[in-house]
Amino acid sequence: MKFLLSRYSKLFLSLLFIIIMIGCWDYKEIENRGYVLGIAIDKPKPLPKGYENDQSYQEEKKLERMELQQGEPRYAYTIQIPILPKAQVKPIGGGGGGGGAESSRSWDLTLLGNSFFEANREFSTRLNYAPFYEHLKVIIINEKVAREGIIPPLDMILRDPEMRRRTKVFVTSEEAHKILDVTPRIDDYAAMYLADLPRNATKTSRMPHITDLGEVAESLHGQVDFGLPIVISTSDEIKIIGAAAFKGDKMVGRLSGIQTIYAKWIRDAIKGGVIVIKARHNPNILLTLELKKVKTKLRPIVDGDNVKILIKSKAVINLAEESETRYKDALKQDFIKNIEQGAKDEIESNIKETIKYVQQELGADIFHFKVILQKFAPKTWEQVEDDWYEVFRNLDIVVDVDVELEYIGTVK
Amino acid sequence: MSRELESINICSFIIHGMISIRLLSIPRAIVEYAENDSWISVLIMGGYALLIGYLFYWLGLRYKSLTFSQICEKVYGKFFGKIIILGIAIYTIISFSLGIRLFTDGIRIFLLDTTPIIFIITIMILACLYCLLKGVRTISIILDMLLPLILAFILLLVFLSLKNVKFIHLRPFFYGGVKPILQGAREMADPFLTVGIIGYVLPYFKNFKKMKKWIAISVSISVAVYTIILLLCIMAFGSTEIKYLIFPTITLSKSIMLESNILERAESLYMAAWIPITFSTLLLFYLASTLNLKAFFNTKKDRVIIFSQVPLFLVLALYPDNISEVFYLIGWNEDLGQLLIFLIVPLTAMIEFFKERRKNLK
Repeated sequence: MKFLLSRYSKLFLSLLFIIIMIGCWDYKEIENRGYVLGIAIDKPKPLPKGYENDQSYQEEKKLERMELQQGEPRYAYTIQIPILPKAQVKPIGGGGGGGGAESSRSWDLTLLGNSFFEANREFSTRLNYAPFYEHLKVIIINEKVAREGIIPPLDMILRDPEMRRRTKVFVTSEEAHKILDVTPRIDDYAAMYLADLPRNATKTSRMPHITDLGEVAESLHGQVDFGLPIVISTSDEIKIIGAAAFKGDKMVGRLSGIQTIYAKWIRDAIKGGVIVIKARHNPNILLTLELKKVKTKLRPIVDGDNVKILIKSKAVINLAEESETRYKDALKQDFIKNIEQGAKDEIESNIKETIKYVQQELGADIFHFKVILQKFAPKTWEQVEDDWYEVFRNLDIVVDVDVELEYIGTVK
Repeated sequence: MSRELESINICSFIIHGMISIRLLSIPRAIVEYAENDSWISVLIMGGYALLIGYLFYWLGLRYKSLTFSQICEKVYGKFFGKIIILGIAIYTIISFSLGIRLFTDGIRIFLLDTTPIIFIITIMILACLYCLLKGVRTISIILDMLLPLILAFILLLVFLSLKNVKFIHLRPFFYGGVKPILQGAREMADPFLTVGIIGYVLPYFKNFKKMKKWIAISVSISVAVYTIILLLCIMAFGSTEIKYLIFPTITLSKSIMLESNILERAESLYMAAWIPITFSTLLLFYLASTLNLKAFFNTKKDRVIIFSQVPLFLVLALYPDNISEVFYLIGWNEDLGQLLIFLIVPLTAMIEFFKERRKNLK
């Protein structure tokens, strides 16, 4: 009996395992997924003038509308899905030209709605591949949306387990979906092309490179102001032109490319780049200096009720270019010291100007002085917490930059 | 009980017991109180866990062939002993059921979103049941095999996450004072209580040579893993952000992205670790629960006890309606666990100590 029981129980278990372990509910063929590479979030737009009689345009617009369960559409969500058979690895058109006329290598679908999740499910009424976001590269937000606040359009993206915290977020003053419409000359998809641009942060500091969804989430949850890169585009190119400053979840202004360099300098986010200064001995001579290493420390200076922020920075630079060559004293210490002092003056002055601009024009603490107080002078922070933005606008800053010139290149 | 294990085998029992499914969510629970000083809470509780581990060992030495539940009956007498055993039974059964449910919810969110939870739960229970039917020796071998794999994947996660850390998130040190750190430490009591597996497996050991050393090493490894994961979470996200994350450790693994386009989904590596982590912890809870119930019913019928728990596990694991209810019930069960770790275990050791002293005086 015992033997039989044991045999029957084994048989039962085997059958059970055969039934429950033959497959997976979540099994999905890789080629049946709609890999979403980019999301663009715009304000919904009425038909532009001149297109009222354009039937194909009207039909497209009809597809973009969805019956909403609540309210009116607040956003136009566009997703970019690659058309894999059209992908190509070599530059199109030969000799590096002619990409714009190619038929699109991606399928961009737009829907008007007020909930991204609802719109996302509605895409399934037009798309026979389920949208899959695990490989999402970029999110592009239109400036008008950004100025109204990014928490509502980003909430689902932050909440959904399919999304990744390293997805990069950008802002554009153009219609965001137009950035996804770009046909890059080398890469296949605009989203991939754009996602790779911040990697060039070692070459230039004119663009913010810490721009991912995780950072945005930390800033929003921690109530810390932040910056995101601003992009513009042509039919085949995208360019990062500076930074959008956010106060809370609302965009409040912009920083130019040069201001972005110094904002990154203050945030200790310089990975490389270039600064150009006038030679001290002759202002007509321009010196181009390559930033090799920049380390910045921010510390509060608390003296009674008076709070200051000390920005102490050490930069290692190389002389990359000089508008007057054959300078005979190039190897002398005086020459080196002169460049170092010139760079120091220029950097300190630009840092101060950038801070002044942000304090007075934007009023957003994108430099995270608040965090410095919270971390290094928590008692002082508690005193100023309630009036922080007022304190921030009038905060005194002490800048001390130490510059060290390492190489001057291969010629004097 | 056949004595078939070597003293070094205790390591995998302790480490697998202490590094549990709670590793996924515990950073949030501690940070709620201790903020950026949470890692100190882990170290404090780690020290206490080592002490508790030694107490279990010390009690086990006095009653070499008895499990902790049987020792309780000896120390407190039949009536109070049974009450304590009942408390342990409730704790272990609920820990197993909610542990499996937490694992299922985690896996549903991140991997198998359309697989019915009853199948995930059933498969885990059946896998544990099979190991248990094969005996403690088999369990020990499985745990020994899984241990290096789990530690290697955790090490890889640590290594890959280093790029995302910001030391400033650890400041200010000790600003909130001692109280929040101790409150945070209390949150660690539940995962560290599993060090109590010592009290259930000691009767299976051939010898106790160097056992103290192995206990210290295994508790230290477990505490180090929790401390490092917590430090990484704090340094990567900051304490404020962690409070918003349901499973901070999974989010940490999902935050890894290398410059080059390799390991785009590095979290799969960690997924490969936390499934065996859960399995091994559940297996040990099942083992402890079985041995405890055997003491409660004073029976030697292993199989009856093993099989009879299955429906109970299923019902309790399926009971919570949502993840919020899972965490609520875990909190309730943690209170019971804290009663065991802070009161029952030290009290048992103290009574035994005084009993022995009185005996010696006589």
